[in-house]
Amino acid sequence: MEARTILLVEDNPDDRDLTARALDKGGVASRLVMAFDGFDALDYLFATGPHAGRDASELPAVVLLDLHLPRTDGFGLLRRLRADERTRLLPVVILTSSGEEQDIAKSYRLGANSFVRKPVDPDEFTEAVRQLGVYCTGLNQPPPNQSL
Amino acid sequence: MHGGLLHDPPDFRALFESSPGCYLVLTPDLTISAVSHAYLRATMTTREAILGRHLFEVFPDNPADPGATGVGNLRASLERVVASRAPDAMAVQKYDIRRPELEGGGYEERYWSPVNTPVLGPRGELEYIIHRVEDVTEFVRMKQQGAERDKLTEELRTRADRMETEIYLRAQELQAANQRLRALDRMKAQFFANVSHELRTPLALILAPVRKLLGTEGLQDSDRQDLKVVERNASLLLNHVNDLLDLAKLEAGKMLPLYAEVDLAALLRRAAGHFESVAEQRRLSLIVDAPSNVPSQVDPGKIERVLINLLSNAFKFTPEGGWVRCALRLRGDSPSPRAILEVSDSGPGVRAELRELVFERFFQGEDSATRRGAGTGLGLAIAKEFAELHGGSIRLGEAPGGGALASVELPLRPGPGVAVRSEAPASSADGDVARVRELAAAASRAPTLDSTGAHDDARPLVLVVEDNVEMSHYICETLGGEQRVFAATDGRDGLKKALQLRPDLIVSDLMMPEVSGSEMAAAIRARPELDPIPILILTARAEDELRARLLREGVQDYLVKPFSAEELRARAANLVALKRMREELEERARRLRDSSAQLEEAFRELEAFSYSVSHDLRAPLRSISGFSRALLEDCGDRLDEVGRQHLARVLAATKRLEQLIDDLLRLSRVTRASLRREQVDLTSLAHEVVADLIQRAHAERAAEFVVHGGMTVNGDAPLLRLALENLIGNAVKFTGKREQPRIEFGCETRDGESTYFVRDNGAGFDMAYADKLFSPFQRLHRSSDFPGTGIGLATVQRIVQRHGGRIWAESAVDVGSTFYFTL
Repeated sequence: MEARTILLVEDNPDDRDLTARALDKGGVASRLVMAFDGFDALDYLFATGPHAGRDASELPAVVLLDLHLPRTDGFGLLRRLRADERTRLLPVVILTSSGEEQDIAKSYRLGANSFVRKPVDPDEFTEAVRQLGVYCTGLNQPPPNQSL
Repeated sequence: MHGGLLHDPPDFRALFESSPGCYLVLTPDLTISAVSHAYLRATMTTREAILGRHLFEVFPDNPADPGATGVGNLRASLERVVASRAPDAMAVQKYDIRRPELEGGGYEERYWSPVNTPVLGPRGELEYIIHRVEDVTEFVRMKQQGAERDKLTEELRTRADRMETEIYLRAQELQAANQRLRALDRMKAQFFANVSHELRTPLALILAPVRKLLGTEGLQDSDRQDLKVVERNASLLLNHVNDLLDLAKLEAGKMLPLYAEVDLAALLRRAAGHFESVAEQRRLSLIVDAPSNVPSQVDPGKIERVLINLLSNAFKFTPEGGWVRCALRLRGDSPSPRAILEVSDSGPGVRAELRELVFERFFQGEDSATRRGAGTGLGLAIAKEFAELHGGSIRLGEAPGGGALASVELPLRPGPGVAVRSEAPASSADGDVARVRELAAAASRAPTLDSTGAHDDARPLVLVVEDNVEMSHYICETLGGEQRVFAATDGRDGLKKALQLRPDLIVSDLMMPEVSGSEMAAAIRARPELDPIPILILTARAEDELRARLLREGVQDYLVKPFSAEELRARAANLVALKRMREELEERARRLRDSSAQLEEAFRELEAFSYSVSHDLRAPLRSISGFSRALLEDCGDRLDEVGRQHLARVLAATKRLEQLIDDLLRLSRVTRASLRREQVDLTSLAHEVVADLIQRAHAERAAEFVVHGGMTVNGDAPLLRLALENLIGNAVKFTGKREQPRIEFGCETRDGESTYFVRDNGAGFDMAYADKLFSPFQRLHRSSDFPGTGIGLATVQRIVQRHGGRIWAESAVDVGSTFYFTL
C-alpha cells in the first residue's frame, strides 16, 4: 500500500516530535512532511521556493494545522488554501492546544474539515493523532481529482 | 446717317445684352430666350447656364427660407401678363440668389423690384415677356436700419421724458419732505425745550430734599444706600435733561458763545480736577499735560463742558487700573494760533467706522451701541456743537494702546468784532458747578468687579453683565445673598470674565455698549467650554419674536424689565440648580463611561489572558507529559521502579494541572459570557447531568438520585447545567465513601422564595469554614481524600450570582451537606 503524505504545519519542535511519534506508534503508514509555518506550507503545497520542482499536483492526504504559528498564523494559511482552486478541497484538520470557542468557530467558518484539541494526556494524544492519521489516510475518501 | 443705319444695322443683341438694366426675355411658356449682362451679374449666373431653360427651373425659391414667396408671386405676375397682355409691376420681392458652388454655395439675401412687360406680335399675340428687375437690396437694408434707429431714438426720447417727469416729481417730494423735516425740527426743538423745563423743576424738587436727608446724621446704612441710589439717578436724569435743553437751544440757534479772557491751561486743570477723587476711587491714573499758562479768548463755561463731557466719557469706559490723560498744546503761527485739547484713555477704544457716528445726536447702534455719550448719546454731540460754536472741530481717534483719543481743535481767539469780556465769569454762572459734580459723579459709577463674597467658594457664582450701574447694583444686591456675584460692564467684558470665572450663571442686559447681550450670548455659545453656563437675559423689550430668537440662540431664560427681585432670585436659583444637576449628570455619565471603558479593557485582558492560558500553559504541559510517557515507554526498562514511579507522578501532576487550567478557563468564561435567559426545565436538566455522571462514575458506587419534578426556571441553560454538574458532581464525590450514597435535588419555599437545594449524605464539612467554601482554590478536604481543584463551587457561585441569586450551604461533618441556591 502506497504511503500517503501528511503535511504537519507546526512550529513547536516538541509537538512535531510527539505528533510524529504518535503517528508512528499508531501504525499509520504515512510520510510525514513538516512545515514550520504558513509560508513554508504554501511553498510545499504550491511547489515554490525551496520546494520548486516538486510535482504540485501531488497533494498530501491531509494537512494537520496548528493555529499559533509565526509569520502567518493557521487562520491565514487556511484562508489562502481555501481561496486557491488547487487546494480548495484539501482536507485540513486544525490540531491545536486551544479549546476556545472563538477559535473553533473561526476554523470551521474558514473551511476547516475538523478541529482537534491536542490532549495533554499522552495516551489520549497518541490516540487522537492515530485516529486522525488512519481516518484521513486510510478510511477517508479524499475528494475526486483535486487539481480540478 | 440714314444710309449708315440701313446698310449697317446695329447689333441689337449686343446692345440689349449690354444695357445697364437687369433684363430677362422670356417666351410665353417662360423659357429664357435672352438675358442682359447686368441680370447675369446680379443673379450670379452665366448665359450658357440659363438660356433655353425654364425660368423656375433656373430660379427656384430659397429652400432655407420658409417664408419665400418670390416664385409664387412671380408666377402670378407672369400669368397676369399672359392673360391681360398688359405690363405688371410687382411689389418688392425678397428673392434670394443661389451662390455658385465656387463662391461657397448657399443663398444670398436679395430684394428685387420686378416689372413684367409683354411684347406683342403684329396680331396682338404674346410673343415675349420682358422681365425687368431692379436690385433694391441695399435700399431695403438701409430702410430697415433706419426703421430700427428710429425705434431706438423714439424709445430713448420717451424714457428721457419719463425720467424728467420722475425727477420733477421726486424734487417736489423732496421739497415737501424737507419742509416737513424743518417743521419737525422746529417742533422737536420746542418740544425739548418745553419738556426739559418741565422736567428740571420736579427733579430739582426731588434732589433738594434727598440731599438734605443724606446730610443728616443717624441714617441707617441701608436707608442711606437707597437714598444714594435715588440721588444718583435723579442727578443723572437732570444731566440728561440739561443736555437735551442745551441741544434744543443750539438747534434753535439761541446759543452764542460768551467769550472771555481765560487761561486755557487753568481751565483744563480745573476740569480734570473734578475727576481726581473719581480717579482715586477707581485706581485710575489721571494725567494732565499742559503748559503753565495759555491765555485765550473762549467761552470758558462751554469749553469746560466740552472737557468734562470728554473726560466723563473716558472715565466711563476705562477699566479699573487704567489711565486717562488730558493734554493741551498749541499749533500754528502767531497771527491765528490754535489750541489742541486732547482726552485719551486706556479703555477699549472706538471702532474706526463708528468714530464719526458717535458725535451724532442720540447715536446708538442697534444692539452693539457704542454709547460713549453720557448715557443719552448727547454728551459727545454737545461737545461737538460747543467746539463748532467756537469755530473749532472735534475728532475721535485711537490712543496709544488702542483706547479712545478725542481731540478738540479751537482758535485761541475769536474773529475780529466779537465782544470779549475782560474777566471770566465764575464757571458756575449758570449752575455749572452742580452739573460738573453730577458728571464727575456719573463717571465714578462706572461698574467695577463686584466683590460680594467673591472668595467664598461654596456658593454658585453669578456673572452680572449690565452697563447701567444702578441696575447692575440692584441685580448684584438681589442675588448677592445666595450667590457670589461678579459684575461686567458690557458684552465684551462679560465674555472675558465668563472665560476667567466660569460662572454658574450669566445674567445679562440685552442693550449694552460695544457688544450686546445677544452678541455675547452667541460668542459664549460658540465656545464649547462655556456651553453649560446658562444665560438669563434681561430685556426691556418684550416682543415675542425677540424672545423666541433669544431662546433659539442658546439663551436659557429671559426676564422683562421691570422685574421683581423675587422673580429674578427664583429664576437664577432654578438655572443654577439645573446647571449643577446637568453637570452632576455629566460627571456621572463620564465616570460611567470611564468605568465601562475600564471594564471593557479588563474583559479584553481577561479574554487575552484566558486565551494564552488555554494555549500557552497547555502546550508545555503536553510536552512534559508526552515526553515523560515517551521516556517511560522507550526507556522504561532502563529505569528502576523508583524512577518509573517518579515519572508516573509527573504524569499525574500534569493531568491535575490540565484539569486546573480547564476549570479556571470555565470559571472565567462563566464570568464574562453574556447571560441568555430562557425557560429552563431544571428537572430534566438534572436528569441529564445525573445520567452523564452515572456513565462516567464507577458502576459499583452508583448512588441513589432523587430529583424533584416540575422545576422550571428562567435562566441560562448552559450555565445552569454547569452549576448542576458541579453541585451534583460534588455530592457524588463527597458521598464516595458512603455505603448508601443518597443525593437529592429539589425545591422548597423559604421566606416566600423558591429555593433549590442539592442534598447529600456525604462527608460534610465544618460550618466554621462555610464562608471559605465558594472562594476559588479553597479546599476543605485533603486532595488524597477528595481530589479537586477547588474551583467548582466558585464557578457555581458566579453562575448563581449572575442570575441574581444567592448560594449558601449547611453541613455537619459526617452527616452530609445541603447546598441551597435561589435564582
